[in-house]
Amino acid sequence: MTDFLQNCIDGVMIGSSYALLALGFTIIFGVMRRLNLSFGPTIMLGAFGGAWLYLHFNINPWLVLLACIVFTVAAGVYVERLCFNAIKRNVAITSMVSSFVIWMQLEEIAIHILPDRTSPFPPLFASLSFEAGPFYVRSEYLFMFAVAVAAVFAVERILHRTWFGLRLRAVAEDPRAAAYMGINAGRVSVYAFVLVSVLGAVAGYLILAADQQVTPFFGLWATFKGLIAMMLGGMGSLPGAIIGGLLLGVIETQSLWYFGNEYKDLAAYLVLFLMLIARPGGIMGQRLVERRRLAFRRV
Amino acid sequence: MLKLREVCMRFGKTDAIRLLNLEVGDGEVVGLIGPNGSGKTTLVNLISGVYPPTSGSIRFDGREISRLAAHKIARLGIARTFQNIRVYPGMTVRENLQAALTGSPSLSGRDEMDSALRQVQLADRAEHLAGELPLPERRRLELARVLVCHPRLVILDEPAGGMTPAETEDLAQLIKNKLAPGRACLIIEHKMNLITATCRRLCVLHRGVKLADGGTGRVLSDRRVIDCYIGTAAGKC
Repeated sequence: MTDFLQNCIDGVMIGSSYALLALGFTIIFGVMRRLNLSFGPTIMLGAFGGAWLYLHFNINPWLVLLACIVFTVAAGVYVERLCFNAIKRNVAITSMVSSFVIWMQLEEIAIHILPDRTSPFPPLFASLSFEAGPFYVRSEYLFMFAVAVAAVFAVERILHRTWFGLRLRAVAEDPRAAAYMGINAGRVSVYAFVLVSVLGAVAGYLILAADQQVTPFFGLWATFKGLIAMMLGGMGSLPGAIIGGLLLGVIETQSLWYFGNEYKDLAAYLVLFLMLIARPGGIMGQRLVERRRLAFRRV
Repeated sequence: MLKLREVCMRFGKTDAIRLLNLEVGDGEVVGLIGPNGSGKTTLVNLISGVYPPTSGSIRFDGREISRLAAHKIARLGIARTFQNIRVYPGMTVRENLQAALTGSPSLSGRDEMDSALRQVQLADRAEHLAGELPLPERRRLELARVLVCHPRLVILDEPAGGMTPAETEDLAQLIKNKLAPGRACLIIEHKMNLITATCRRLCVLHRGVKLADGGTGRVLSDRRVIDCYIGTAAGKC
């Protein structure tokens, strides 16, 4: 039982980083109704930029974090201009395919920045271990969890308490009506990408700082984890992104402990498969799907 | 205020609007009628920036707006409602107004939003989801969204669509007493009782060409208008 509970604690801590990644996917999917497959690679490119500065100039880890945010935001805006702004809203598949192409491009750029493929990545602070009875938790995972909780509250506040959030939700509901009400949907879309890029960069930094290394495969990893967490929790639901991320973390740590490393990802895919059969909208998405379907049907 | 000069709109080989001249002055309420396919909604779409005209000029307060993006036209003070209602269904009634305000140069505050909701009799629905309102209330929500933005020109595209005669009468009073005072309005409508109750001037389109333009009474008794439109639509009015 102690092992099970310890795995749950570890899962929630690791899952908080998945939750941050899923938040990014959810915001873009909610606003654009399109999938951005290159979200993970933009985070990876930002991390490579930060790692390059760290290797060549040995800058402070906080400056590395800042550099990751700047590079990720630049890459995110690049993706938005190329794959989303330039392509009409009613051809979502084109955006998705082009974002996959940009994924390849970003990986190539990252390999040119740091040809060694695996590069060291600095942690913000030295790792500590906190113990409470039979349980323990590493400081970097505790920090990751705290940042994830803060990010969720910040995003919720931005969406429901700011002019930008209102514009974002209006564009998500009906971009044409928003335009006739004076809202510049193109600009809102760019700001949405900036927001999710900042979230992604912070998540990426925290994950890589815990591993203390970065590879070009991080883009693929981040995209997979974020997408699975979003689909488990419910596409388009912010609380769902958090729940999905935490659940994915717990599933992975439990299966790693009980079945071994080779079954870790398989268990996650199996749960996703069962979820898609039982609740196609995800844990929180089903209610959202039904409520929205009803609302849109009335209109 | 609004001046259209020799505006043409061509879709493929079809002329939706041909050499149309139209002016709407400050504080003027103009009705726009015509059979289906006569170019009314195309005209509204041209003014509000859905697409640019093939040729011709559209000026608002002396400024050429025919090539401006829709959101820039809205910010100049032109607001519109839609034939197919376009409220934000997943947002509350109050959030619909707030979202409209974010795109408007108007500095309306919470008090003014409450006032707009009272004027359209939706004060007790402020926290309801817009998608859960019945059709007449959603129409009124669109009008409240227009009211809080303080536009100088309002374009209403079939505002009484799907309404009962009693609801249409209420809407006419709302337009006359709350919406029209102090601003120019262009109203597209098939229901003649709404047009006669709200508009002093009437413009009739037929196959993309202006058939008649003048005082409502005079235009409605025009033989060409009766032959082309009123006679055939009388049963529906």
